[in-house]
Amino acid sequence: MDEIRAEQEAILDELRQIEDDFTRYSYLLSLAALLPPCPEDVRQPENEVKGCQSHVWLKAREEQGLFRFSADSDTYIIKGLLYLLMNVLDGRPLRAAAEAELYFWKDPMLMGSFDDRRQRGIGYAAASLQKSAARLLKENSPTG
Amino acid sequence: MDDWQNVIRKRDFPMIARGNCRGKSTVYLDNAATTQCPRPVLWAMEDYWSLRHANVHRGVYCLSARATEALEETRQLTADFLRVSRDEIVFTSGATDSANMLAEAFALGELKRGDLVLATEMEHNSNLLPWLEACRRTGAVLELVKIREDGELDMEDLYRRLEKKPRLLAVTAVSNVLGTVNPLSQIVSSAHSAGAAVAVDAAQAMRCDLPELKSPDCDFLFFSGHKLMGPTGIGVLYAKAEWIDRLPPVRYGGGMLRELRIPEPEYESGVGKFEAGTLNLSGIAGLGAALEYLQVVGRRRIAAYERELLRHAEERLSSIDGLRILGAPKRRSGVLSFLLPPLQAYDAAVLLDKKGFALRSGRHCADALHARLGISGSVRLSPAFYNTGEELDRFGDALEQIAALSRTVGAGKHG
Repeated sequence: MDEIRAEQEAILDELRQIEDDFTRYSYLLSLAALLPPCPEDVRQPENEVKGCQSHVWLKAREEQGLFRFSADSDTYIIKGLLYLLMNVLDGRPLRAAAEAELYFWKDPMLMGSFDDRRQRGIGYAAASLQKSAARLLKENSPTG
Repeated sequence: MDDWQNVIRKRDFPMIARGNCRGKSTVYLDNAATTQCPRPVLWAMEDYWSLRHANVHRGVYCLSARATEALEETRQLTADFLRVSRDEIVFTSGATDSANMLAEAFALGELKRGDLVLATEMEHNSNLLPWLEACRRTGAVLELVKIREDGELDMEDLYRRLEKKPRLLAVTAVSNVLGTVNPLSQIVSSAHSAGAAVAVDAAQAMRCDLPELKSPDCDFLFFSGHKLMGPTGIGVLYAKAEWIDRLPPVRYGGGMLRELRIPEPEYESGVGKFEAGTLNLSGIAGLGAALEYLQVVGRRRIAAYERELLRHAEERLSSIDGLRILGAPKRRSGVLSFLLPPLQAYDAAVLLDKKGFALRSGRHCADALHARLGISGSVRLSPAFYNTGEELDRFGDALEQIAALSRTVGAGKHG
Protein backbone atom coordinates (compact mmCIF):
# COMPACT_ATOMS: atom_id res chain seq x y z
CA MET A 1 0.00 0.00 0.00
CA ASP A 2 1.40 3.41 -0.91
CA GLU A 3 1.99 6.01 1.79
CA ILE A 4 -0.92 8.24 0.86
CA ARG A 5 -3.36 5.35 0.97
CA ALA A 6 -1.84 4.11 4.25
CA GLU A 7 -2.28 7.56 5.81
CA GLN A 8 -5.92 7.68 4.71
CA GLU A 9 -6.56 4.23 6.17
CA ALA A 10 -4.91 5.30 9.44
CA ILE A 11 -7.22 8.32 9.63
CA LEU A 12 -10.31 6.21 9.00
CA ASP A 13 -9.19 3.64 11.58
CA GLU A 14 -8.77 6.39 14.14
CA LEU A 15 -12.23 7.76 13.42
CA ARG A 16 -13.79 4.28 13.62
CA GLN A 17 -12.45 3.87 17.13
CA ILE A 18 -14.49 6.85 18.26
CA GLU A 19 -17.90 5.58 19.29
CA ASP A 20 -20.28 8.47 18.77
CA ASP A 21 -20.70 11.29 16.31
CA PHE A 22 -20.37 14.05 18.86
CA THR A 23 -16.99 12.83 20.09
CA ARG A 24 -15.86 12.31 16.50
CA TYR A 25 -16.67 15.91 15.62
CA SER A 26 -15.14 17.16 18.86
CA TYR A 27 -12.00 15.32 17.83
CA LEU A 28 -12.10 17.03 14.45
CA LEU A 29 -12.40 20.38 16.20
CA SER A 30 -9.42 19.62 18.37
CA LEU A 31 -7.40 18.83 15.22
CA ALA A 32 -8.12 22.37 14.01
CA ALA A 33 -5.71 23.69 16.61
CA LEU A 34 -2.93 21.54 15.11
CA LEU A 35 -3.15 23.14 11.67
CA PRO A 36 0.06 25.17 11.31
CA PRO A 37 -0.42 28.92 11.58
CA CYS A 38 -1.09 30.39 8.21
CA PRO A 39 1.32 32.96 6.73
CA GLU A 40 -0.31 36.38 6.25
CA ASP A 41 -0.22 36.16 2.46
CA VAL A 42 -2.35 33.02 2.29
CA ARG A 43 -5.67 34.60 3.34
CA GLN A 44 -5.96 36.49 0.07
CA PRO A 45 -8.82 36.39 -2.44
CA GLU A 46 -6.64 34.70 -5.08
CA ASN A 47 -6.06 31.76 -2.70
CA GLU A 48 -9.68 31.31 -1.70
CA VAL A 49 -11.30 28.10 -2.92
CA LYS A 50 -14.42 29.00 -4.89
CA GLY A 51 -17.62 27.16 -4.11
CA CYS A 52 -16.97 26.52 -0.42
CA GLN A 53 -19.67 27.63 1.99
CA SER A 54 -16.99 28.32 4.60
CA HIS A 55 -14.02 30.43 3.64
CA VAL A 56 -11.11 28.16 2.72
CA TRP A 57 -7.71 29.43 1.65
CA LEU A 58 -5.04 27.18 0.13
CA LYS A 59 -1.60 28.09 -1.17
CA ALA A 60 0.60 25.38 -2.65
CA ARG A 61 4.32 25.39 -3.37
CA GLU A 62 7.11 23.03 -4.37
CA GLU A 63 10.07 22.38 -2.11
CA GLN A 64 12.80 20.04 -3.31
CA GLY A 65 10.42 18.08 -5.46
CA LEU A 66 7.84 17.77 -2.70
CA PHE A 67 4.33 19.13 -2.57
CA ARG A 68 3.83 21.61 0.29
CA PHE A 69 0.85 23.76 1.12
CA SER A 70 -0.55 26.21 3.65
CA ALA A 71 -4.23 26.15 4.52
CA ASP A 72 -6.73 28.07 6.57
CA SER A 73 -10.48 28.35 7.10
CA ASP A 74 -12.86 30.44 9.19
CA THR A 75 -14.59 27.26 10.38
CA TYR A 76 -12.97 24.99 12.94
CA ILE A 77 -14.40 21.74 11.65
CA ILE A 78 -13.14 22.58 8.17
CA LYS A 79 -9.75 23.43 9.66
CA GLY A 80 -9.74 19.98 11.24
CA LEU A 81 -10.41 18.45 7.83
CA LEU A 82 -7.67 20.58 6.27
CA TYR A 83 -5.28 19.31 8.93
CA LEU A 84 -6.12 15.74 7.89
CA LEU A 85 -5.65 16.66 4.22
CA MET A 86 -2.28 18.08 5.16
CA ASN A 87 -1.33 14.78 6.80
CA VAL A 88 -2.27 12.98 3.62
CA LEU A 89 -0.77 15.24 0.95
CA ASP A 90 1.76 17.68 2.38
CA GLY A 91 5.40 16.65 1.96
CA ARG A 92 4.61 13.97 -0.62
CA PRO A 93 6.38 13.80 -3.98
CA LEU A 94 4.58 16.05 -6.47
CA ARG A 95 3.54 13.19 -8.72
CA ALA A 96 2.18 11.14 -5.83
CA ALA A 97 0.18 14.13 -4.53
CA ALA A 98 -1.20 14.92 -7.98
CA GLU A 99 -2.20 11.39 -8.86
CA ALA A 100 -3.35 9.96 -5.52
CA GLU A 101 -6.88 8.74 -5.08
CA LEU A 102 -8.24 10.88 -2.24
CA TYR A 103 -11.14 9.13 -0.59
CA PHE A 104 -10.93 9.45 3.19
CA TRP A 105 -12.89 12.72 3.29
CA LYS A 106 -15.85 11.11 1.51
CA ASP A 107 -16.39 8.59 4.29
CA PRO A 108 -19.84 8.95 5.91
CA MET A 109 -18.13 9.25 9.30
CA LEU A 110 -16.82 12.61 8.13
CA MET A 111 -19.39 13.68 5.57
CA GLY A 112 -22.52 12.49 7.37
CA SER A 113 -23.30 15.86 8.87
CA PHE A 114 -22.18 18.18 6.13
CA ASP A 115 -24.90 19.42 3.84
CA ASP A 116 -24.52 18.98 0.07
CA ARG A 117 -23.02 22.42 -0.49
CA ARG A 118 -20.36 21.89 2.15
CA GLN A 119 -19.58 18.41 0.86
CA ARG A 120 -19.06 19.91 -2.58
CA GLY A 121 -16.90 22.64 -1.07
CA ILE A 122 -14.64 20.11 0.63
CA GLY A 123 -14.40 18.26 -2.67
CA TYR A 124 -13.38 21.52 -4.41
CA ALA A 125 -10.66 22.06 -1.79
CA ALA A 126 -9.24 18.56 -2.27
CA ALA A 127 -9.44 18.88 -6.06
CA SER A 128 -7.80 22.30 -5.96
CA LEU A 129 -4.83 20.88 -4.04
CA GLN A 130 -4.35 18.07 -6.52
CA LYS A 131 -4.66 20.51 -9.41
CA SER A 132 -1.93 22.64 -7.83
CA ALA A 133 0.24 19.56 -7.39
CA ALA A 134 -0.24 18.69 -11.09
CA ARG A 135 0.63 22.25 -12.12
CA LEU A 136 3.75 22.30 -9.95
CA LEU A 137 4.73 18.90 -11.34
CA LYS A 138 4.47 20.23 -14.87
CA GLU A 139 6.36 23.39 -14.02
CA ASN A 140 9.14 21.43 -12.37
CA SER A 141 9.52 18.63 -14.88
CA PRO A 142 12.56 18.88 -17.20
CA THR A 143 10.26 19.42 -20.20
CA GLY A 144 7.83 21.66 -18.32
CA MET B 1 -45.24 20.12 31.24
CA ASP B 2 -48.78 21.44 30.96
CA ASP B 3 -51.40 18.76 30.34
CA TRP B 4 -52.71 20.41 27.18
CA GLN B 5 -49.22 20.57 25.81
CA ASN B 6 -48.56 16.89 26.49
CA VAL B 7 -51.81 16.00 24.77
CA ILE B 8 -51.10 17.96 21.61
CA ARG B 9 -47.57 16.56 21.34
CA LYS B 10 -48.80 13.00 21.34
CA ARG B 11 -52.03 13.50 19.47
CA ASP B 12 -51.11 16.04 16.82
CA PHE B 13 -47.34 15.95 16.29
CA PRO B 14 -46.19 12.32 16.31
CA MET B 15 -42.68 13.13 15.09
CA ILE B 16 -42.19 15.63 17.90
CA ALA B 17 -43.51 13.22 20.51
CA ARG B 18 -41.36 10.38 19.18
CA GLY B 19 -38.36 12.71 19.25
CA ASN B 20 -36.19 11.03 16.69
CA CYS B 21 -35.16 11.24 13.07
CA ARG B 22 -33.84 8.10 11.35
CA GLY B 23 -33.50 6.49 14.76
CA LYS B 24 -31.47 9.39 16.16
CA SER B 25 -32.74 11.38 19.09
CA THR B 26 -33.90 14.76 17.77
CA VAL B 27 -35.38 17.80 19.39
CA TYR B 28 -36.73 20.12 16.71
CA LEU B 29 -35.86 23.73 17.53
CA ASP B 30 -35.89 25.31 14.07
CA ASN B 31 -39.44 26.62 14.08
CA ALA B 32 -38.49 30.05 12.77
CA ALA B 33 -37.55 28.27 9.53
CA THR B 34 -40.65 26.11 9.39
CA THR B 35 -43.10 24.56 11.82
CA GLN B 36 -44.45 21.04 11.89
CA CYS B 37 -47.94 20.38 10.55
CA PRO B 38 -50.44 18.97 13.05
CA ARG B 39 -52.57 16.08 11.90
CA PRO B 40 -55.69 18.17 11.19
CA VAL B 41 -53.68 20.09 8.58
CA LEU B 42 -52.56 16.86 6.93
CA TRP B 43 -56.11 15.52 6.99
CA ALA B 44 -57.46 18.71 5.42
CA MET B 45 -55.02 18.41 2.52
CA GLU B 46 -55.67 14.71 2.08
CA ASP B 47 -59.39 15.40 2.16
CA TYR B 48 -58.95 18.06 -0.51
CA TRP B 49 -57.00 15.78 -2.85
CA SER B 50 -59.05 12.65 -2.28
CA LEU B 51 -62.58 14.08 -2.14
CA ARG B 52 -62.75 17.71 -3.20
CA HIS B 53 -60.15 18.35 -5.88
CA ALA B 54 -61.52 20.56 -8.64
CA ASN B 55 -60.65 23.99 -9.96
CA VAL B 56 -62.38 26.98 -8.45
CA HIS B 57 -64.48 29.78 -9.96
CA ARG B 58 -66.92 29.56 -12.80
CA GLY B 59 -67.20 25.77 -12.77
CA VAL B 60 -70.93 25.08 -12.92
CA TYR B 61 -70.64 21.62 -11.44
CA CYS B 62 -70.94 20.77 -7.77
CA LEU B 63 -67.26 19.90 -7.12
CA SER B 64 -66.08 23.22 -8.48
CA ALA B 65 -68.66 25.14 -6.50
CA ARG B 66 -67.57 23.30 -3.32
CA ALA B 67 -63.91 24.02 -4.04
CA THR B 68 -64.74 27.70 -4.51
CA GLU B 69 -66.66 27.72 -1.23
CA ALA B 70 -63.73 26.10 0.57
CA LEU B 71 -61.33 28.67 -0.88
CA GLU B 72 -63.52 31.55 0.22
CA GLU B 73 -64.00 29.98 3.67
CA THR B 74 -60.23 30.02 4.17
CA ARG B 75 -60.12 33.61 2.95
CA GLN B 76 -62.72 34.45 5.60
CA LEU B 77 -60.82 32.50 8.29
CA THR B 78 -57.64 34.38 7.41
CA ALA B 79 -59.47 37.68 7.50
CA ASP B 80 -60.96 36.78 10.89
CA PHE B 81 -57.50 35.82 12.16
CA LEU B 82 -56.28 39.32 11.31
CA ARG B 83 -59.64 41.01 12.02
CA VAL B 84 -59.78 42.56 8.57
CA SER B 85 -62.10 42.23 5.59
CA ARG B 86 -61.96 39.15 3.35
CA ASP B 87 -61.78 41.55 0.42
CA GLU B 88 -58.29 42.50 1.61
CA ILE B 89 -56.80 38.98 1.61
CA VAL B 90 -54.76 37.83 -1.40
CA PHE B 91 -53.40 34.29 -1.53
CA THR B 92 -49.79 33.94 -2.63
CA SER B 93 -47.22 31.17 -2.47
CA GLY B 94 -45.57 32.54 0.68
CA ALA B 95 -44.23 35.64 2.38
CA THR B 96 -41.46 36.04 -0.19
CA ASP B 97 -43.96 35.87 -3.03
CA SER B 98 -46.20 38.39 -1.25
CA ALA B 99 -43.37 40.89 -0.83
CA ASN B 100 -42.27 40.44 -4.42
CA MET B 101 -45.80 40.98 -5.75
CA LEU B 102 -46.20 44.08 -3.64
CA ALA B 103 -42.85 45.56 -4.62
CA GLU B 104 -43.57 44.82 -8.29
CA ALA B 105 -46.93 46.53 -8.03
CA PHE B 106 -45.29 49.53 -6.38
CA ALA B 107 -42.63 49.66 -9.07
CA LEU B 108 -45.31 49.53 -11.75
CA GLY B 109 -47.81 51.96 -10.32
CA GLU B 110 -46.30 54.05 -7.54
CA LEU B 111 -42.54 54.58 -7.52
CA LYS B 112 -40.71 57.05 -9.70
CA ARG B 113 -37.14 58.27 -10.01
CA GLY B 114 -35.87 59.95 -6.85
CA ASP B 115 -38.57 58.50 -4.55
CA LEU B 116 -37.37 57.15 -1.22
CA VAL B 117 -38.18 53.70 0.16
CA LEU B 118 -37.16 52.71 3.69
CA ALA B 119 -36.43 49.23 5.01
CA THR B 120 -34.61 48.36 8.23
CA GLU B 121 -31.32 46.70 9.03
CA MET B 122 -33.17 43.82 10.66
CA GLU B 123 -35.22 42.83 7.61
CA HIS B 124 -35.22 39.34 6.22
CA ASN B 125 -33.93 39.48 2.64
CA SER B 126 -37.52 38.82 1.54
CA ASN B 127 -38.61 42.26 2.75
CA LEU B 128 -35.47 43.94 1.47
CA LEU B 129 -34.41 42.53 -1.89
CA PRO B 130 -37.81 43.01 -3.60
CA TRP B 131 -37.70 46.69 -2.58
CA LEU B 132 -34.10 47.04 -3.64
CA GLU B 133 -34.98 45.66 -7.06
CA ALA B 134 -38.10 47.87 -7.31
CA CYS B 135 -35.87 50.88 -6.58
CA ARG B 136 -33.29 49.79 -9.14
CA ARG B 137 -35.97 49.47 -11.78
CA THR B 138 -37.61 52.82 -11.11
CA GLY B 139 -34.66 54.97 -10.07
CA ALA B 140 -36.01 55.26 -6.53
CA VAL B 141 -33.62 55.13 -3.58
CA LEU B 142 -33.58 52.54 -0.79
CA GLU B 143 -32.28 53.46 2.67
CA LEU B 144 -32.00 51.24 5.72
CA VAL B 145 -33.16 52.39 9.14
CA LYS B 146 -30.49 51.54 11.69
CA ILE B 147 -30.80 49.26 14.66
CA ARG B 148 -29.25 49.92 18.07
CA GLU B 149 -26.67 47.79 19.85
CA ASP B 150 -29.39 46.17 21.97
CA GLY B 151 -31.21 45.00 18.83
CA GLU B 152 -34.03 47.53 19.01
CA LEU B 153 -34.93 49.59 15.98
CA ASP B 154 -33.31 53.05 16.28
CA MET B 155 -36.48 55.13 16.43
CA GLU B 156 -34.56 58.40 16.28
CA ASP B 157 -32.99 57.27 13.02
CA LEU B 158 -36.42 56.26 11.75
CA TYR B 159 -37.89 59.68 12.59
CA ARG B 160 -34.99 61.44 10.87
CA ARG B 161 -35.47 59.41 7.70
CA LEU B 162 -39.23 59.86 7.76
CA GLU B 163 -38.65 63.61 7.51
CA LYS B 164 -37.45 62.92 3.96
CA LYS B 165 -40.99 61.82 3.10
CA PRO B 166 -40.43 58.24 1.90
CA ARG B 167 -43.12 56.57 -0.19
CA LEU B 168 -43.01 53.33 1.80
CA LEU B 169 -41.49 51.75 4.88
CA ALA B 170 -40.82 47.99 4.85
CA VAL B 171 -40.50 46.68 8.39
CA THR B 172 -40.68 43.36 10.13
CA ALA B 173 -43.02 42.81 13.07
CA VAL B 174 -40.52 40.44 14.72
CA SER B 175 -36.86 40.06 13.79
CA ASN B 176 -36.16 36.54 12.55
CA VAL B 177 -32.72 36.64 14.19
CA LEU B 178 -32.94 38.77 17.33
CA GLY B 179 -36.59 38.14 18.15
CA THR B 180 -37.05 41.88 18.60
CA VAL B 181 -40.74 42.76 18.62
CA ASN B 182 -40.94 46.13 16.94
CA PRO B 183 -43.31 48.82 18.29
CA LEU B 184 -45.51 48.56 15.24
CA SER B 185 -48.28 50.94 16.30
CA GLN B 186 -45.75 53.70 16.93
CA ILE B 187 -43.87 52.93 13.70
CA VAL B 188 -46.98 52.82 11.54
CA SER B 189 -48.43 55.97 13.02
CA SER B 190 -45.16 57.90 12.49
CA ALA B 191 -44.82 56.60 8.95
CA HIS B 192 -48.38 57.54 8.10
CA SER B 193 -47.87 61.03 9.51
CA ALA B 194 -44.95 61.34 7.11
CA GLY B 195 -47.12 60.15 4.23
CA ALA B 196 -45.44 56.74 3.88
CA ALA B 197 -47.24 53.46 3.35
CA VAL B 198 -46.10 50.60 5.60
CA ALA B 199 -45.47 46.99 4.54
CA VAL B 200 -45.14 44.64 7.50
CA ASP B 201 -43.38 41.28 7.29
CA ALA B 202 -45.35 39.21 9.80
CA ALA B 203 -43.77 35.86 8.91
CA GLN B 204 -42.25 35.42 12.36
CA ALA B 205 -45.03 37.14 14.23
CA MET B 206 -48.17 35.17 13.49
CA ARG B 207 -47.90 32.84 16.51
CA CYS B 208 -47.04 35.71 18.88
CA ASP B 209 -50.63 36.94 19.29
CA LEU B 210 -49.49 40.56 19.02
CA PRO B 211 -52.31 43.08 19.53
CA GLU B 212 -50.74 45.20 16.75
CA LEU B 213 -51.50 42.47 14.23
CA LYS B 214 -55.22 42.42 14.96
CA SER B 215 -57.02 44.99 12.82
CA PRO B 216 -53.56 46.22 11.86
CA ASP B 217 -53.01 49.89 11.02
CA CYS B 218 -50.38 49.10 8.40
CA ASP B 219 -51.16 49.23 4.69
CA PHE B 220 -49.76 45.79 3.88
CA LEU B 221 -48.92 42.70 5.86
CA PHE B 222 -47.76 39.31 4.72
CA PHE B 223 -46.87 35.89 6.05
CA SER B 224 -46.31 32.25 5.10
CA GLY B 225 -48.49 29.33 6.03
CA HIS B 226 -45.59 27.05 6.91
CA LYS B 227 -44.46 29.13 9.88
CA LEU B 228 -47.80 28.75 11.59
CA MET B 229 -48.35 25.03 11.31
CA GLY B 230 -49.61 25.14 7.75
CA PRO B 231 -48.03 23.65 4.62
CA THR B 232 -45.33 25.18 2.45
CA GLY B 233 -46.25 26.92 -0.79
CA ILE B 234 -49.06 29.03 0.58
CA GLY B 235 -48.95 32.56 1.90
CA VAL B 236 -51.04 35.64 2.39
CA LEU B 237 -50.78 39.26 1.38
CA TYR B 238 -53.08 41.57 3.26
CA ALA B 239 -53.59 44.95 1.62
CA LYS B 240 -55.95 47.66 2.84
CA ALA B 241 -59.01 47.99 0.60
CA GLU B 242 -57.91 51.29 -0.91
CA TRP B 243 -54.62 49.71 -1.97
CA ILE B 244 -56.39 46.70 -3.44
CA ASP B 245 -58.24 49.16 -5.69
CA ARG B 246 -55.22 51.33 -6.38
CA LEU B 247 -52.39 48.88 -7.12
CA PRO B 248 -52.11 47.30 -10.56
CA PRO B 249 -51.97 43.53 -11.02
CA VAL B 250 -48.49 42.15 -11.64
CA ARG B 251 -49.33 38.69 -12.93
CA TYR B 252 -51.58 38.05 -15.82
CA GLY B 253 -53.56 35.04 -16.96
CA GLY B 254 -56.54 32.93 -16.07
CA GLY B 255 -59.06 34.10 -13.54
CA MET B 256 -58.19 37.80 -13.41
CA LEU B 257 -59.59 39.05 -16.71
CA ARG B 258 -62.96 40.79 -16.86
CA GLU B 259 -63.00 41.59 -20.55
CA LEU B 260 -60.42 41.13 -23.24
CA ARG B 261 -60.01 44.41 -25.07
CA ILE B 262 -56.87 44.77 -27.11
CA PRO B 263 -54.70 46.69 -26.46
CA GLU B 264 -56.22 47.59 -23.07
CA PRO B 265 -57.85 44.63 -21.34
CA GLU B 266 -60.09 45.14 -18.35
CA TYR B 267 -59.10 43.20 -15.26
CA GLU B 268 -61.11 42.01 -12.30
CA SER B 269 -61.47 44.43 -9.43
CA GLY B 270 -60.76 43.35 -5.87
CA VAL B 271 -58.36 40.63 -4.78
CA GLY B 272 -59.14 38.57 -7.90
CA LYS B 273 -56.88 40.76 -10.01
CA PHE B 274 -53.88 39.62 -7.97
CA GLU B 275 -54.67 35.91 -8.16
CA ALA B 276 -53.92 34.99 -11.76
CA GLY B 277 -53.78 31.27 -12.53
CA THR B 278 -54.79 28.34 -10.38
CA LEU B 279 -54.09 28.87 -6.71
CA ASN B 280 -52.48 26.30 -4.44
CA LEU B 281 -55.83 24.91 -3.39
CA SER B 282 -54.61 22.06 -1.20
CA GLY B 283 -52.24 24.53 0.46
CA ILE B 284 -55.15 26.85 1.08
CA ALA B 285 -57.09 23.95 2.61
CA GLY B 286 -54.06 23.25 4.83
CA LEU B 287 -53.72 26.91 5.79
CA GLY B 288 -57.37 27.05 6.76
CA ALA B 289 -56.98 23.96 8.93
CA ALA B 290 -53.85 25.45 10.54
CA LEU B 291 -55.63 28.68 11.44
CA GLU B 292 -58.55 26.74 12.89
CA TYR B 293 -56.14 24.52 14.81
CA LEU B 294 -54.38 27.51 16.37
CA GLN B 295 -57.74 28.99 17.34
CA VAL B 296 -58.86 25.73 18.94
CA VAL B 297 -55.64 25.21 20.90
CA GLY B 298 -55.75 28.88 21.84
CA ARG B 299 -53.67 31.64 20.28
CA ARG B 300 -53.14 33.42 23.62
CA ARG B 301 -52.20 30.18 25.34
CA ILE B 302 -49.74 29.27 22.59
CA ALA B 303 -48.15 32.73 22.61
CA ALA B 304 -47.84 32.79 26.40
CA TYR B 305 -46.30 29.32 26.50
CA GLU B 306 -43.83 30.11 23.70
CA ARG B 307 -42.82 33.34 25.48
CA GLU B 308 -42.22 31.36 28.67
CA LEU B 309 -40.13 28.79 26.75
CA LEU B 310 -37.99 31.56 25.28
CA ARG B 311 -37.57 33.25 28.66
CA HIS B 312 -36.53 29.91 30.14
CA ALA B 313 -34.03 29.37 27.32
CA GLU B 314 -32.61 32.88 27.65
CA GLU B 315 -32.10 32.39 31.37
CA ARG B 316 -30.36 29.05 30.83
CA LEU B 317 -28.17 30.24 27.96
CA SER B 318 -27.18 33.40 29.86
CA SER B 319 -25.55 31.21 32.49
CA ILE B 320 -23.20 29.53 29.99
CA ASP B 321 -19.67 30.84 30.18
CA GLY B 322 -18.51 32.25 26.85
CA LEU B 323 -21.91 32.19 25.15
CA ARG B 324 -23.06 35.49 23.67
CA ILE B 325 -26.75 36.08 23.07
CA LEU B 326 -27.40 38.55 20.24
CA GLY B 327 -29.34 41.62 21.27
CA ALA B 328 -31.28 42.38 24.40
CA PRO B 329 -34.54 43.83 23.15
CA LYS B 330 -37.26 44.82 25.61
CA ARG B 331 -39.73 42.46 23.95
CA ARG B 332 -38.31 39.28 22.43
CA SER B 333 -40.43 36.69 20.73
CA GLY B 334 -39.97 33.44 18.86
CA VAL B 335 -36.21 33.33 18.39
CA LEU B 336 -32.96 33.71 20.25
CA SER B 337 -29.65 33.75 18.39
CA PHE B 338 -26.24 33.28 19.88
CA LEU B 339 -22.54 32.79 19.29
CA LEU B 340 -20.08 30.51 21.03
CA PRO B 341 -16.74 32.10 20.19
CA PRO B 342 -14.25 31.08 19.01
CA LEU B 343 -16.44 28.42 17.36
CA GLN B 344 -18.15 29.51 14.16
CA ALA B 345 -21.93 29.24 14.18
CA TYR B 346 -21.69 26.35 11.75
CA ASP B 347 -19.33 24.40 14.04
CA ALA B 348 -21.70 24.86 16.96
CA ALA B 349 -24.74 23.79 14.92
CA VAL B 350 -23.00 20.62 13.70
CA LEU B 351 -22.09 19.70 17.25
CA LEU B 352 -25.63 20.42 18.43
CA ASP B 353 -26.91 18.15 15.68
CA LYS B 354 -24.63 15.41 17.01
CA LYS B 355 -26.24 15.94 20.40
CA GLY B 356 -29.69 15.58 18.82
CA PHE B 357 -30.80 19.22 18.52
CA ALA B 358 -32.03 20.57 15.20
CA LEU B 359 -31.10 24.25 14.90
CA ARG B 360 -30.07 26.51 12.08
CA SER B 361 -26.80 28.35 11.68
CA GLY B 362 -25.79 31.03 9.20
CA ARG B 363 -27.20 34.44 8.40
CA HIS B 364 -30.83 33.31 8.37
CA CYS B 365 -31.43 35.41 5.22
CA ALA B 366 -30.78 38.53 7.30
CA ASP B 367 -27.56 39.64 5.66
CA ALA B 368 -27.95 43.33 6.50
CA LEU B 369 -28.39 42.52 10.17
CA HIS B 370 -25.33 40.28 10.34
CA ALA B 371 -23.26 42.90 8.50
CA ARG B 372 -24.47 45.51 11.00
CA LEU B 373 -23.46 43.25 13.90
CA GLY B 374 -20.12 42.50 12.23
CA ILE B 375 -20.57 38.74 12.36
CA SER B 376 -20.58 36.11 9.64
CA GLY B 377 -23.38 34.03 11.12
CA SER B 378 -25.18 32.96 14.26
CA VAL B 379 -26.94 29.94 15.72
CA ARG B 380 -30.68 30.39 16.06
CA LEU B 381 -32.91 28.74 18.63
CA SER B 382 -36.62 28.92 17.86
CA PRO B 383 -38.87 26.74 20.00
CA ALA B 384 -42.58 26.26 19.38
CA PHE B 385 -45.44 25.25 21.61
CA TYR B 386 -44.77 21.54 21.10
CA ASN B 387 -41.34 21.91 22.70
CA THR B 388 -40.90 21.58 26.44
CA GLY B 389 -38.88 23.20 29.19
CA GLU B 390 -37.24 19.84 29.81
CA GLU B 391 -36.03 19.73 26.19
CA LEU B 392 -34.57 23.21 26.59
CA ASP B 393 -32.83 22.14 29.81
CA ARG B 394 -31.21 19.28 27.92
CA PHE B 395 -30.34 21.71 25.16
CA GLY B 396 -28.68 23.95 27.74
CA ASP B 397 -26.66 21.01 29.07
CA ALA B 398 -25.47 20.14 25.56
CA LEU B 399 -24.50 23.75 24.93
CA GLU B 400 -22.60 23.79 28.22
CA GLN B 401 -20.57 20.83 26.97
CA ILE B 402 -19.94 22.48 23.60
CA ALA B 403 -18.96 25.73 25.30
CA ALA B 404 -16.36 23.82 27.32
CA LEU B 405 -15.06 22.31 24.09
CA SER B 406 -15.03 25.75 22.49
CA ARG B 407 -12.85 27.06 25.31
CA THR B 408 -10.42 24.19 24.72
CA VAL B 409 -10.32 24.95 21.00
CA GLY B 410 -9.87 28.63 21.76
CA ALA B 411 -6.93 27.80 23.97
CA GLY B 412 -5.22 26.22 20.92
CA LYS B 413 -2.60 28.54 19.53
CA HIS B 414 -3.73 28.38 15.96
CA GLY B 415 -7.45 28.97 16.26
